[in-house]
Amino acid sequence: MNFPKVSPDSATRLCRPQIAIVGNPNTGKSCLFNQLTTMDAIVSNYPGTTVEILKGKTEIGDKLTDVADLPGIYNLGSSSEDERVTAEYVFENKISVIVNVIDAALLERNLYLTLQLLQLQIPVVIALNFYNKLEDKGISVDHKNLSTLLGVPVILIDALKGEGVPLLVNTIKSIVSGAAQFDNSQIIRSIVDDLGKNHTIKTQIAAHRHSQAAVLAEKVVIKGKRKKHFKEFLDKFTTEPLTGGISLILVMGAIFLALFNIGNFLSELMAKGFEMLIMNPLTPLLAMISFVSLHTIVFWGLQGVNAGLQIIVPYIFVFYLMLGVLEDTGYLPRMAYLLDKLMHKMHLHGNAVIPMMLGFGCSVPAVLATRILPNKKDRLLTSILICMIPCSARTAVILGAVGKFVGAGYAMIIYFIVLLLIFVLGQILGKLLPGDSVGLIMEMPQYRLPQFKNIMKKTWMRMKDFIWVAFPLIIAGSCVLGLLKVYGLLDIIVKPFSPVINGWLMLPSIAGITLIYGILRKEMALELLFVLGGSSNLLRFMTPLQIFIFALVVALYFPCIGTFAVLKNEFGWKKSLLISFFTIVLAVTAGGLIARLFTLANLLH
Amino acid sequence: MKKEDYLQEMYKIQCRNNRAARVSELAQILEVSNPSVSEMVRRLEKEKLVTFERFGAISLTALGIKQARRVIRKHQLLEVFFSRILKIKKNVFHKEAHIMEHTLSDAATDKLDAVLKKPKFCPDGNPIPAKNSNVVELASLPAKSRAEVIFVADKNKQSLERLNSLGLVPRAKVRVVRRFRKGPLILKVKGSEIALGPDICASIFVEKK
Repeated sequence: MNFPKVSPDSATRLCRPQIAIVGNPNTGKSCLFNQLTTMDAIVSNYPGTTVEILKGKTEIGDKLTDVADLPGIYNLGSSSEDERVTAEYVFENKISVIVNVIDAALLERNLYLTLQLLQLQIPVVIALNFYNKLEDKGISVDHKNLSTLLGVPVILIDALKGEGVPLLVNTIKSIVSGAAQFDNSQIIRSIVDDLGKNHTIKTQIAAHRHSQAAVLAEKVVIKGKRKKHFKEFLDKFTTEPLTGGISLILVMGAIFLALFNIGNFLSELMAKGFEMLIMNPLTPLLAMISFVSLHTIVFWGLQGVNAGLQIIVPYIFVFYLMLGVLEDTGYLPRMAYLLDKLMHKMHLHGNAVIPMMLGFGCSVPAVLATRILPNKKDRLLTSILICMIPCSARTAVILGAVGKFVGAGYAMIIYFIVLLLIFVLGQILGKLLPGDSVGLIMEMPQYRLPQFKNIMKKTWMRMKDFIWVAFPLIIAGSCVLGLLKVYGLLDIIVKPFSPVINGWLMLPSIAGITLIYGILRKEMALELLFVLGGSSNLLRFMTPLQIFIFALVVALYFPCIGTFAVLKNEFGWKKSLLISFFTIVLAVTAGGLIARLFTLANLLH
Repeated sequence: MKKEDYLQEMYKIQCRNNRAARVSELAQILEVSNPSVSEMVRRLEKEKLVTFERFGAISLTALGIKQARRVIRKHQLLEVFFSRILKIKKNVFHKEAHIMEHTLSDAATDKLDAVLKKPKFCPDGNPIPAKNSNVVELASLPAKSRAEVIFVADKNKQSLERLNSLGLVPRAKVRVVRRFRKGPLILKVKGSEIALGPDICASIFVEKK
């Protein structure tokens, strides 16, 4: 490892100060970032939540200061994409102060990185997080002694509640202004001295740094009596092979059932509410609009709002709430551990489970989350599979169409078919794609009680997109469709697709046009189906089999325009076009075959 | 060059660097040619003492580690004897020990150990391996067992770096918290719990405590 010489530049003090938040994964860096900047970085309880550098601003003293939240790292190396990003940022930017966030319960392991950071010759402030959680573990940390030993300020913080943050800001202020000088030359000299005795080989440095971290930790960690905790029981129960497997099935089953029941209930409620509160009072007014085009636009626009309310709010909102709970408890890494063996069948490892689980929410952040994977092959393969995982929008289509009008059992069959296809495809692609795979190495965080506020905040941030982007889109799309229909243009557009839509997939013609809209956003396909069919009851214009095939095709074909964009960014045009083309072929093939299979078996008639 | 010298040197390289050894590196240290290293390595592979992979990465097996440690133990006990009892100078006793380590019998080694009152460290401060140390792959450790890392022999640079920074370095103390049969396990190291896949575990050698 070569550390470029970074000398504290007096020029950097004149321009805007830059603060970088650095630390091990899952120590609460993003949480502190939010406290410092009043920004909204996503905070969760699993290593690798933040995979991109987030930038914000804050006022320290009266100076506007840049703050960067960097992905968590165990060392300034490059064992994965997110680590590389952080190391590069630290080396290439003129950072005034590094805020090194440390999990107080894992002091020794965290100090390993701290010792590396100290060598960079950039002022470091240590923010000791989770200090108030130490009681559970029966230990305490002599932070004053730690500060003396390292020669840098150590501030106790609770990043979640914001405790200690004002003191941290003050400390940063005094360093930036040059008022406070901290002398860590002693510790740096001891690092360099001991290194001089050995050959400068990476591992020796690592071993040496570990032993130094151990010595430091021993001096400042005071051990006491450890309390048996419910969390430990829960941890054991959810990770022992037998009970772990059972709990995994229970958790997944509970999510599905909750989504199905709560979603359907809310969906009904929305439909009734819209009818009573908006449509009924507005109908007489609507009748007064005599100009055909305007009437069409208003009427169809309203239908768009109605469809959006029925789909987005009940299913997608409820799903994100549950994903938030999964993320914040720390269950996701356990899933990675439990499913490692299964993932091996697809030539992947347990670490691919976390991006794939996020894929049930939205494919876009899920593809980004594949950056926690250590190599290109795993990233590409996982991303391809993520494109096929039913995201919350597709879940809304599956549950809102099949679950509601055909039955929960058939909705589950769709999930089963999709997951089976993912599994088979994973096995094939895992063999075909070139490259080595690196095994599972993942830290298991402690279980934490999810914070209601944080989950609501995350859900709101994820829903914002649906409200500001999806609603206007669906209303506009609906209006356009309405105009096309009124002026008789719809048939002309539908016609070229009819051999595939009517002939092969055996769907009604209007389904074809909604599938095209589904490219923009998946849930739009169903919303516009409601609008075009002229009823919130799909059974009025589709058979149960048609509903089933429609949902299956929506679940599989083209990963939506947003996902396509992120795929293009991460893997280039060629691969993303190939993936899109492939999913379309797969969706059409599977849809037509299953339609015939079900007809032969006399199912859903 | 004797087989024992190879094993010993390989052990030292792997402990020092916490990774597999390379043909070129062995050749340089033992001052022999690359082909002769390759030849010996193939012989050792047949005896199941080492594994030899593409790109020239060589690692001792658990059996190889045991044999290497037996020779190292002899060497180090002899060193202690020379320096402590005979008061011979360092540069001399090292050479002496290097010759005698191959001829000293196991029974005599144990006697020597007893006479020296079971020393823990050699004159250079390196730990002396115990007589019957239980060397295994991490993958074969049952749940709840404790162990000390001997070295990681993984060939992948990225996993090595990650394992190093998580604290899986020689002499690190670990405990298997939970595990799947023939599957991943959760390991406690440096106070944190880490899930490791079976392939990674197969490349980590430990001494069971």
